[in-house]
Amino acid sequence: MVVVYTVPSTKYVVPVNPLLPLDEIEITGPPPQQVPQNSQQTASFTLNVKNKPLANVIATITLTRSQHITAGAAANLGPAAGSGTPWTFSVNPTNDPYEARWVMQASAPDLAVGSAYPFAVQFNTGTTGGTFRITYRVQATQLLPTDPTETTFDLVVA
Amino acid sequence: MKFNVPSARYGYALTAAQPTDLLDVQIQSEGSSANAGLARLILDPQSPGKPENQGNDLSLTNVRVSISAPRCNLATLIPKKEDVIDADVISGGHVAFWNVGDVFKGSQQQYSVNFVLTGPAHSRFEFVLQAAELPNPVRLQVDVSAGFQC
Repeated sequence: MVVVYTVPSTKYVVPVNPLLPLDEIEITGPPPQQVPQNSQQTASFTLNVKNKPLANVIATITLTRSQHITAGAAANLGPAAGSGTPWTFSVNPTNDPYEARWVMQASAPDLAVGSAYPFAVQFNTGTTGGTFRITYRVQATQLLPTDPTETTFDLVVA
Repeated sequence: MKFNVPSARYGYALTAAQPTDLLDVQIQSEGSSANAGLARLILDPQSPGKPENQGNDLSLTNVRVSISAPRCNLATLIPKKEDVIDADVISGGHVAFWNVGDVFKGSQQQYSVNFVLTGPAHSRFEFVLQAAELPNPVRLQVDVSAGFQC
């Protein structure tokens, strides 16, 4: 199942072009079904750029402290980050991280209209059952810093 | 339902090692009526506090918590009004709030209110956390139906 969130027109710094569709956060993971404790899952979304080019993008996925982002480079499923790529990748906090963040490097070109950018991180569901609200966030020069562009999805752990 | 406040929500920069605050919202039935329940927000503060406060255990300041329960009758606030700076049920009896001042790292806080669902079968509750360190309130919405469990 995919959940699509359209960025409301009120979130843009400059009024949007009404002839174009609005940008989207398309949530693609984790699955909507209940998942087992202590299992590996992926939290992911695709940023569909549809209205205007986006500059200085920061994409964030925030789990809760009951989950832990899998350690190691292989856990960072995408986009590829580091030297030679448009992105730097980091996790917070250092111990048992639950937040993944991709920051566009200063030299990177704007994300073009018509393009789609997937972000994905692997995590362990932890040893606590319940419902956990995951936050998907996009920041960009074109989006109001005072009114965060965020949407959420509930992870259900058995 | 548990929720960690994203680090970008704070009005100051967190370092890579600093955690954020956890909110746990719970809605459970109480008594024999399918429409009676308890709404609870548990705040587990772990954020480091404003830079000028770092070095002590202060996490959030000027904290206000509210629970909005449309078409419900609210009663029995915990903690009671006398035990915090201020607390009450307002807005026609549909919103409970607590002004609690400062909270310290690791000092788990619980705020709860009894409710009876009196309106339609579905109601969207909103749990709100405000603090000087959070430029925008943290809002968590949960849909509640008769015979609920959250």
